[in-house]
Amino acid sequence: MKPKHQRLVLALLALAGIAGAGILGASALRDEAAYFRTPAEVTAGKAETGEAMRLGGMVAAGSIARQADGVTIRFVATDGKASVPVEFTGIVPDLFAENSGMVADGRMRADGVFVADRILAKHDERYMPPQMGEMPKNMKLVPEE
Amino acid sequence: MHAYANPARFLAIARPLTPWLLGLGTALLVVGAWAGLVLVPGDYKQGETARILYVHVPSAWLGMGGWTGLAVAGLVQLVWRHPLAGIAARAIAVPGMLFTALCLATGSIWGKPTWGTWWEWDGRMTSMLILLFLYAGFIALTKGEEGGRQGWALPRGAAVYALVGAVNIPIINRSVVWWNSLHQGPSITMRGSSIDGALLWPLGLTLLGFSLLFGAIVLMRMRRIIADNRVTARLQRMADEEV
Amino acid sequence: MTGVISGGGQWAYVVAAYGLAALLTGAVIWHSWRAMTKAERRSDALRKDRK
Repeated sequence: MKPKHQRLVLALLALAGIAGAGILGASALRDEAAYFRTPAEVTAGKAETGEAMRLGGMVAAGSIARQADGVTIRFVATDGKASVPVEFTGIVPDLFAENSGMVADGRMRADGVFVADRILAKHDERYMPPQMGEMPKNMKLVPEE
Repeated sequence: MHAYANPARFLAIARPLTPWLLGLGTALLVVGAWAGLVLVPGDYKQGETARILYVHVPSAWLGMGGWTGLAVAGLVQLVWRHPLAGIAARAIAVPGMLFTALCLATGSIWGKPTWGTWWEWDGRMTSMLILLFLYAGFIALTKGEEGGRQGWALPRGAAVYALVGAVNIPIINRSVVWWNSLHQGPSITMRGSSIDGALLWPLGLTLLGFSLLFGAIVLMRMRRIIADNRVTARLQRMADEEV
Repeated sequence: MTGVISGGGQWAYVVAAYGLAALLTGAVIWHSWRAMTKAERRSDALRKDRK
Protein backbone atom coordinates (compact mmCIF):
# COMPACT_ATOMS: atom_id res chain seq x y z
CA MET A 1 0.00 0.00 0.00
CA LYS A 2 1.23 3.45 -0.87
CA PRO A 3 1.49 5.78 2.11
CA LYS A 4 -1.29 7.91 0.66
CA HIS A 5 -3.67 4.94 0.69
CA GLN A 6 -2.51 3.96 4.12
CA ARG A 7 -3.36 7.42 5.39
CA LEU A 8 -6.75 7.28 3.66
CA VAL A 9 -7.64 3.96 5.27
CA LEU A 10 -6.45 5.20 8.65
CA ALA A 11 -8.40 8.42 8.34
CA LEU A 12 -11.59 6.63 7.27
CA LEU A 13 -11.26 4.12 10.11
CA ALA A 14 -10.75 6.93 12.58
CA LEU A 15 -13.72 8.79 11.11
CA ALA A 16 -15.96 5.73 11.43
CA GLY A 17 -14.80 5.32 15.02
CA ILE A 18 -15.51 8.94 15.85
CA ALA A 19 -18.93 8.83 14.21
CA GLY A 20 -19.80 5.63 16.06
CA ALA A 21 -18.69 7.07 19.37
CA GLY A 22 -20.64 10.26 18.71
CA ILE A 23 -23.84 8.45 17.88
CA LEU A 24 -23.45 6.11 20.86
CA GLY A 25 -22.85 9.09 23.11
CA ALA A 26 -25.84 10.91 21.70
CA SER A 27 -28.17 7.98 22.18
CA ALA A 28 -26.87 7.49 25.71
CA LEU A 29 -27.85 11.09 26.36
CA ARG A 30 -31.37 10.35 25.18
CA ASP A 31 -33.06 11.02 28.48
CA GLU A 32 -30.62 13.52 29.90
CA ALA A 33 -30.69 15.72 26.81
CA ALA A 34 -34.48 15.78 26.63
CA TYR A 35 -35.69 19.31 27.13
CA PHE A 36 -38.97 18.30 28.76
CA ARG A 37 -40.88 15.28 29.99
CA THR A 38 -44.07 14.17 28.33
CA PRO A 39 -47.39 13.58 30.11
CA ALA A 40 -46.96 9.85 29.43
CA GLU A 41 -43.60 9.87 31.22
CA VAL A 42 -45.01 11.87 34.11
CA THR A 43 -48.06 9.63 34.63
CA ALA A 44 -45.75 6.60 34.38
CA GLY A 45 -44.06 7.88 37.53
CA LYS A 46 -41.06 9.65 36.03
CA ALA A 47 -41.69 12.72 38.17
CA GLU A 48 -41.29 13.09 41.90
CA THR A 49 -43.72 15.35 43.70
CA GLY A 50 -42.08 18.71 44.24
CA GLU A 51 -39.14 18.02 41.92
CA ALA A 52 -38.35 20.93 39.61
CA MET A 53 -38.94 19.77 36.04
CA ARG A 54 -40.27 20.70 32.65
CA LEU A 55 -43.44 19.33 31.17
CA GLY A 56 -44.16 19.51 27.44
CA GLY A 57 -47.34 18.64 25.60
CA MET A 58 -50.31 19.79 23.58
CA VAL A 59 -52.92 21.94 25.24
CA ALA A 60 -56.03 19.75 25.06
CA ALA A 61 -59.00 21.12 23.11
CA GLY A 62 -61.49 22.99 25.27
CA SER A 63 -59.39 22.58 28.39
CA ILE A 64 -58.25 26.15 29.11
CA ALA A 65 -60.24 27.56 32.02
CA ARG A 66 -59.59 30.91 33.63
CA GLN A 67 -59.91 30.81 37.39
CA ALA A 68 -61.95 33.20 39.51
CA ASP A 69 -58.92 35.37 40.39
CA GLY A 70 -58.57 36.34 36.71
CA VAL A 71 -54.84 35.66 36.43
CA THR A 72 -54.68 31.91 37.04
CA ILE A 73 -55.44 29.44 34.28
CA ARG A 74 -55.90 25.72 34.28
CA PHE A 75 -55.58 23.47 31.29
CA VAL A 76 -54.75 19.88 30.40
CA ALA A 77 -51.44 18.97 28.78
CA THR A 78 -51.60 15.85 26.65
CA ASP A 79 -49.37 13.85 24.34
CA GLY A 80 -52.13 11.64 23.00
CA LYS A 81 -51.24 8.84 25.41
CA ALA A 82 -51.71 10.54 28.76
CA SER A 83 -52.79 13.89 30.17
CA VAL A 84 -51.68 16.02 33.09
CA PRO A 85 -53.66 18.96 34.50
CA VAL A 86 -51.62 22.17 34.71
CA GLU A 87 -52.14 25.29 36.77
CA PHE A 88 -50.38 28.56 35.99
CA THR A 89 -50.51 32.11 37.26
CA GLY A 90 -49.06 34.70 34.94
CA ILE A 91 -48.78 35.78 31.35
CA VAL A 92 -48.58 33.20 28.59
CA PRO A 93 -47.00 33.78 25.14
CA ASP A 94 -49.26 34.81 22.24
CA LEU A 95 -48.88 31.41 20.62
CA PHE A 96 -50.18 29.59 23.68
CA ALA A 97 -53.56 28.15 22.71
CA GLU A 98 -55.63 24.99 22.66
CA ASN A 99 -54.47 22.35 20.18
CA SER A 100 -51.05 23.91 20.26
CA GLY A 101 -47.81 22.88 21.91
CA MET A 102 -46.47 24.27 25.17
CA VAL A 103 -43.63 23.68 27.58
CA ALA A 104 -44.02 24.48 31.29
CA ASP A 105 -41.44 24.86 34.06
CA GLY A 106 -42.72 23.81 37.45
CA ARG A 107 -43.34 20.85 39.71
CA MET A 108 -45.95 18.20 40.41
CA ARG A 109 -48.16 18.84 43.40
CA ALA A 110 -49.28 15.97 45.60
CA ASP A 111 -52.80 16.14 44.10
CA GLY A 112 -51.45 15.32 40.64
CA VAL A 113 -51.68 18.86 39.28
CA PHE A 114 -48.57 20.31 37.64
CA VAL A 115 -47.99 23.79 39.01
CA ALA A 116 -46.15 25.87 36.43
CA ASP A 117 -44.17 28.98 37.16
CA ARG A 118 -43.36 29.70 33.53
CA ILE A 119 -44.96 28.70 30.25
CA LEU A 120 -43.40 28.75 26.79
CA ALA A 121 -45.24 28.16 23.53
CA LYS A 122 -43.94 25.47 21.20
CA HIS A 123 -44.96 25.71 17.59
CA ASP A 124 -44.79 23.02 14.95
CA GLU A 125 -42.80 22.88 11.73
CA ARG A 126 -45.63 24.09 9.49
CA TYR A 127 -45.72 27.51 7.90
CA MET A 128 -48.58 28.74 5.72
CA PRO A 129 -50.44 31.90 4.75
CA PRO A 130 -53.24 33.05 7.08
CA GLN A 131 -56.09 32.45 4.61
CA MET A 132 -55.25 28.74 4.73
CA GLY A 133 -55.02 28.92 8.47
CA GLU A 134 -57.52 26.32 9.55
CA MET A 135 -56.18 24.99 12.80
CA PRO A 136 -54.56 21.75 11.72
CA LYS A 137 -55.84 18.85 13.75
CA ASN A 138 -53.01 16.35 13.76
CA MET A 139 -50.20 18.51 15.10
CA LYS A 140 -47.53 16.34 16.56
CA LEU A 141 -45.43 17.45 19.45
CA VAL A 142 -43.48 14.37 20.36
CA PRO A 143 -41.03 13.42 17.62
CA GLU A 144 -41.56 10.12 15.87
CA GLU A 145 -39.39 7.34 17.13
CA MET B 1 -6.24 15.92 -7.31
CA HIS B 2 -3.18 18.06 -7.45
CA ALA B 3 -4.27 19.87 -10.59
CA TYR B 4 -4.96 22.95 -8.49
CA ALA B 5 -2.00 22.51 -6.19
CA ASN B 6 -0.33 25.33 -7.99
CA PRO B 7 -1.92 28.50 -6.59
CA ALA B 8 -1.57 30.13 -10.02
CA ARG B 9 -4.14 27.72 -11.43
CA PHE B 10 -6.42 28.28 -8.49
CA LEU B 11 -6.08 32.04 -8.84
CA ALA B 12 -6.85 31.89 -12.56
CA ILE B 13 -10.29 30.63 -11.56
CA ALA B 14 -10.75 32.41 -8.23
CA ARG B 15 -9.94 35.90 -9.52
CA PRO B 16 -12.68 36.17 -12.18
CA LEU B 17 -15.11 34.13 -10.05
CA THR B 18 -15.02 36.43 -7.01
CA PRO B 19 -16.88 39.44 -8.48
CA TRP B 20 -19.46 37.15 -10.06
CA LEU B 21 -20.22 35.45 -6.75
CA LEU B 22 -20.38 38.79 -4.98
CA GLY B 23 -22.66 40.39 -7.57
CA LEU B 24 -24.98 37.44 -8.06
CA GLY B 25 -25.17 36.69 -4.34
CA THR B 26 -26.02 40.29 -3.48
CA ALA B 27 -28.66 40.48 -6.23
CA LEU B 28 -30.30 37.25 -5.05
CA LEU B 29 -30.31 38.45 -1.46
CA VAL B 30 -31.85 41.81 -2.36
CA VAL B 31 -34.66 40.07 -4.27
CA GLY B 32 -34.99 37.37 -1.58
CA ALA B 33 -35.20 39.90 1.25
CA TRP B 34 -37.71 41.99 -0.69
CA ALA B 35 -39.80 38.89 -1.29
CA GLY B 36 -39.45 37.72 2.29
CA LEU B 37 -40.28 41.10 3.83
CA VAL B 38 -42.89 42.42 1.42
CA LEU B 39 -44.19 40.02 -1.21
CA VAL B 40 -45.13 36.97 0.85
CA PRO B 41 -47.81 37.00 3.54
CA GLY B 42 -47.02 36.33 7.18
CA ASP B 43 -47.56 32.93 8.75
CA TYR B 44 -51.05 31.88 9.90
CA LYS B 45 -49.83 31.63 13.49
CA GLN B 46 -46.46 33.30 13.79
CA GLY B 47 -47.48 36.35 11.78
CA GLU B 48 -44.69 38.59 10.54
CA THR B 49 -42.08 36.99 12.81
CA ALA B 50 -41.97 33.98 10.46
CA ARG B 51 -40.11 36.22 7.98
CA ILE B 52 -37.00 35.73 10.13
CA LEU B 53 -36.90 32.26 8.57
CA TYR B 54 -35.33 33.66 5.39
CA VAL B 55 -32.17 34.76 7.21
CA HIS B 56 -32.18 32.20 10.04
CA VAL B 57 -32.22 29.05 7.91
CA PRO B 58 -29.45 30.13 5.48
CA SER B 59 -27.18 31.10 8.37
CA ALA B 60 -27.78 27.72 10.02
CA TRP B 61 -27.01 26.01 6.71
CA LEU B 62 -23.79 27.97 6.26
CA GLY B 63 -22.65 27.50 9.85
CA MET B 64 -23.03 23.74 9.48
CA GLY B 65 -21.85 23.67 5.86
CA GLY B 66 -18.77 25.65 6.88
CA TRP B 67 -17.76 23.00 9.39
CA THR B 68 -18.38 20.27 6.84
CA GLY B 69 -15.94 22.18 4.63
CA LEU B 70 -13.40 22.33 7.47
CA ALA B 71 -13.72 18.57 7.98
CA VAL B 72 -13.27 17.85 4.27
CA ALA B 73 -10.25 20.17 4.15
CA GLY B 74 -8.81 18.44 7.21
CA LEU B 75 -9.26 15.03 5.58
CA VAL B 76 -7.76 16.22 2.28
CA GLN B 77 -4.75 17.59 4.09
CA LEU B 78 -4.21 14.50 6.26
CA VAL B 79 -4.53 12.06 3.38
CA TRP B 80 -3.37 13.86 0.25
CA ARG B 81 -1.32 16.69 1.77
CA HIS B 82 -2.92 19.05 -0.69
CA PRO B 83 -1.48 22.55 -0.20
CA LEU B 84 -4.77 24.35 -0.76
CA ALA B 85 -6.57 22.39 1.98
CA GLY B 86 -5.00 24.34 4.83
CA ILE B 87 -5.59 27.63 3.05
CA ALA B 88 -9.25 26.76 2.41
CA ALA B 89 -9.79 25.70 6.01
CA ARG B 90 -8.28 28.91 7.36
CA ALA B 91 -10.43 30.91 4.96
CA ILE B 92 -13.65 29.12 5.99
CA ALA B 93 -13.26 29.31 9.78
CA VAL B 94 -14.14 32.97 10.39
CA PRO B 95 -17.18 33.25 8.09
CA GLY B 96 -18.36 29.84 9.33
CA MET B 97 -18.23 31.02 12.90
CA LEU B 98 -19.91 34.27 11.95
CA PHE B 99 -22.89 32.61 10.31
CA THR B 100 -23.21 30.24 13.27
CA ALA B 101 -23.38 33.30 15.52
CA LEU B 102 -25.91 34.88 13.17
CA CYS B 103 -28.01 31.73 13.32
CA LEU B 104 -27.99 31.80 17.12
CA ALA B 105 -28.75 35.53 17.22
CA THR B 106 -31.61 35.46 14.71
CA GLY B 107 -32.98 32.36 16.42
CA SER B 108 -32.92 34.17 19.72
CA ILE B 109 -34.68 37.20 18.22
CA TRP B 110 -37.27 34.83 16.74
CA GLY B 111 -37.70 32.86 19.95
CA LYS B 112 -38.74 35.80 22.09
CA PRO B 113 -42.04 36.66 20.34
CA THR B 114 -42.95 33.08 19.45
CA TRP B 115 -41.80 30.81 22.27
CA GLY B 116 -41.59 33.52 24.89
CA THR B 117 -37.87 33.19 25.61
CA TRP B 118 -34.57 34.43 24.17
CA TRP B 119 -32.69 31.28 25.07
CA GLU B 120 -33.34 27.77 26.33
CA TRP B 121 -30.91 24.88 26.78
CA ASP B 122 -32.67 22.49 24.46
CA GLY B 123 -30.85 20.04 22.19
CA ARG B 124 -30.89 22.18 19.05
CA MET B 125 -29.73 25.39 20.68
CA THR B 126 -27.11 23.72 22.84
CA SER B 127 -25.58 21.76 19.95
CA MET B 128 -25.50 24.90 17.78
CA LEU B 129 -23.76 26.81 20.59
CA ILE B 130 -21.22 23.97 20.79
CA LEU B 131 -20.59 24.49 17.07
CA LEU B 132 -19.81 28.15 17.77
CA PHE B 133 -17.30 27.11 20.45
CA LEU B 134 -15.79 24.51 18.11
CA TYR B 135 -15.16 27.25 15.55
CA ALA B 136 -13.53 29.42 18.21
CA GLY B 137 -11.29 26.49 19.17
CA PHE B 138 -10.32 25.88 15.55
CA ILE B 139 -9.45 29.52 15.01
CA ALA B 140 -7.33 29.51 18.16
CA LEU B 141 -5.56 26.31 17.05
CA THR B 142 -4.65 27.69 13.63
CA LYS B 143 -3.79 31.22 14.61
CA GLY B 144 -0.27 32.55 15.00
CA GLU B 145 1.81 30.08 13.04
CA GLU B 146 0.80 31.08 9.53
CA GLY B 147 3.54 31.12 6.96
CA GLY B 148 6.11 29.61 9.25
CA ARG B 149 8.13 26.51 8.47
CA GLN B 150 4.90 24.60 8.04
CA GLY B 151 3.64 27.00 5.42
CA TRP B 152 -0.10 27.33 5.40
CA ALA B 153 -0.87 23.71 6.07
CA LEU B 154 -2.97 23.13 9.15
CA PRO B 155 -1.21 21.87 12.25
CA ARG B 156 -1.96 18.14 12.37
CA GLY B 157 -3.91 18.63 15.57
CA ALA B 158 -6.17 21.21 13.94
CA ALA B 159 -6.90 18.89 10.99
CA VAL B 160 -7.85 16.07 13.36
CA TYR B 161 -9.89 18.53 15.44
CA ALA B 162 -11.85 19.55 12.32
CA LEU B 163 -12.65 15.89 11.64
CA VAL B 164 -13.64 15.07 15.21
CA GLY B 165 -15.78 18.21 15.45
CA ALA B 166 -17.78 17.06 12.44
CA VAL B 167 -19.57 14.59 14.74
CA ASN B 168 -21.54 17.57 16.00
CA ILE B 169 -23.05 18.26 12.57
CA PRO B 170 -25.40 15.24 12.39
CA ILE B 171 -26.14 15.78 16.09
CA ILE B 172 -27.34 19.33 15.37
CA ASN B 173 -29.36 18.03 12.45
CA ARG B 174 -31.04 15.22 14.40
CA SER B 175 -31.26 17.02 17.76
CA VAL B 176 -34.93 17.88 17.25
CA VAL B 177 -35.76 14.28 16.29
CA TRP B 178 -33.72 12.36 18.87
CA TRP B 179 -34.63 14.47 21.86
CA ASN B 180 -37.80 16.34 22.60
CA SER B 181 -36.94 19.99 22.30
CA LEU B 182 -38.43 23.47 22.27
CA HIS B 183 -37.27 23.96 18.69
CA GLN B 184 -39.74 22.43 16.25
CA GLY B 185 -38.89 19.46 14.05
CA PRO B 186 -37.45 19.77 10.56
CA SER B 187 -39.73 21.54 8.06
CA ILE B 188 -37.93 20.34 4.97
CA THR B 189 -37.30 16.62 4.79
CA MET B 190 -36.87 13.97 2.12
CA ARG B 191 -40.64 13.61 2.09
CA GLY B 192 -41.23 17.24 1.23
CA SER B 193 -41.75 20.58 2.86
CA SER B 194 -44.22 21.56 5.56
CA ILE B 195 -43.62 25.19 4.61
CA ASP B 196 -46.41 26.13 2.20
CA GLY B 197 -45.23 26.95 -1.32
CA ALA B 198 -46.47 30.53 -0.97
CA LEU B 199 -43.98 31.08 1.86
CA LEU B 200 -41.22 28.77 0.71
CA TRP B 201 -39.89 30.34 -2.49
CA PRO B 202 -38.00 33.32 -1.01
CA LEU B 203 -36.03 30.83 1.09
CA GLY B 204 -34.57 29.38 -2.11
CA LEU B 205 -33.38 32.84 -3.13
CA THR B 206 -31.80 33.72 0.21
CA LEU B 207 -30.27 30.25 0.62
CA LEU B 208 -28.57 30.53 -2.75
CA GLY B 209 -27.70 34.20 -2.23
CA PHE B 210 -26.05 33.66 1.15
CA SER B 211 -24.25 30.58 -0.18
CA LEU B 212 -22.78 32.52 -3.12
CA LEU B 213 -21.65 35.30 -0.78
CA PHE B 214 -20.11 32.70 1.51
CA GLY B 215 -18.24 31.32 -1.48
CA ALA B 216 -17.05 34.82 -2.38
CA ILE B 217 -15.88 35.44 1.20
CA VAL B 218 -13.93 32.16 1.23
CA LEU B 219 -12.33 32.94 -2.15
CA MET B 220 -11.33 36.44 -1.02
CA ARG B 221 -9.79 35.10 2.16
CA MET B 222 -7.94 32.37 0.26
CA ARG B 223 -6.60 34.93 -2.21
CA ARG B 224 -5.42 37.06 0.68
CA ILE B 225 -3.58 34.15 2.26
CA ILE B 226 -1.95 33.19 -1.05
CA ALA B 227 -0.82 36.78 -1.66
CA ASP B 228 0.59 37.04 1.89
CA ASN B 229 2.32 33.74 1.30
CA ARG B 230 3.99 35.02 -1.85
CA VAL B 231 5.15 38.19 -0.15
CA THR B 232 6.73 36.18 2.66
CA ALA B 233 8.43 33.81 0.23
CA ARG B 234 9.74 36.64 -1.93
CA LEU B 235 11.06 38.66 0.99
CA GLN B 236 12.79 35.53 2.23
CA ARG B 237 14.40 34.94 -1.15
CA MET B 238 15.51 38.57 -1.42
CA ALA B 239 17.06 38.37 2.04
CA ASP B 240 18.88 35.17 1.08
CA GLU B 241 20.26 36.74 -2.10
CA GLU B 242 21.66 39.71 -0.25
CA VAL B 243 23.72 37.60 2.08
CA MET C 1 -53.43 33.92 24.49
CA THR C 2 -54.92 33.94 21.03
CA GLY C 3 -52.67 31.34 19.43
CA VAL C 4 -51.71 33.89 16.80
CA ILE C 5 -49.06 36.61 16.81
CA SER C 6 -50.45 39.92 15.58
CA GLY C 7 -49.92 43.62 15.94
CA GLY C 8 -47.16 45.98 14.82
CA GLY C 9 -44.70 45.14 17.60
CA GLN C 10 -43.54 42.00 15.81
CA TRP C 11 -41.89 44.01 13.04
CA ALA C 12 -39.22 45.16 15.49
CA TYR C 13 -37.98 41.57 15.77
CA VAL C 14 -38.02 41.09 12.00
CA VAL C 15 -36.11 44.33 11.40
CA ALA C 16 -33.58 43.44 14.11
CA ALA C 17 -32.92 40.02 12.56
CA TYR C 18 -32.57 41.34 9.00
CA GLY C 19 -30.51 44.31 10.14
CA LEU C 20 -28.12 42.10 12.07
CA ALA C 21 -27.77 39.73 9.09
CA ALA C 22 -27.03 42.62 6.71
CA LEU C 23 -24.58 44.21 9.14
CA LEU C 24 -22.59 41.05 9.88
CA THR C 25 -22.51 39.82 6.28
CA GLY C 26 -21.55 43.27 5.00
CA ALA C 27 -18.83 43.62 7.61
CA VAL C 28 -17.17 40.29 6.85
CA ILE C 29 -17.33 40.92 3.09
CA TRP C 30 -15.84 44.39 3.48
CA HIS C 31 -13.10 43.15 5.79
CA SER C 32 -12.21 40.21 3.54
CA TRP C 33 -12.20 42.42 0.44
CA ARG C 34 -9.95 45.03 2.00
CA ALA C 35 -7.49 42.50 3.35
CA MET C 36 -7.39 40.75 -0.02
CA THR C 37 -6.81 43.85 -2.16
CA LYS C 38 -4.14 45.08 0.25
CA ALA C 39 -2.29 41.76 0.23
CA GLU C 40 -2.52 41.36 -3.55
CA ARG C 41 -1.28 44.90 -4.14
CA ARG C 42 1.70 44.24 -1.92
CA SER C 43 2.45 40.99 -3.70
CA ASP C 44 2.17 42.61 -7.15
CA ALA C 45 4.39 45.53 -6.16
CA LEU C 46 7.06 43.18 -4.91
CA ARG C 47 6.97 41.17 -8.11
CA LYS C 48 7.51 44.33 -10.20
CA ASP C 49 10.44 45.29 -8.00
CA ARG C 50 12.26 42.14 -8.93
CA LYS C 51 11.92 42.55 -12.68
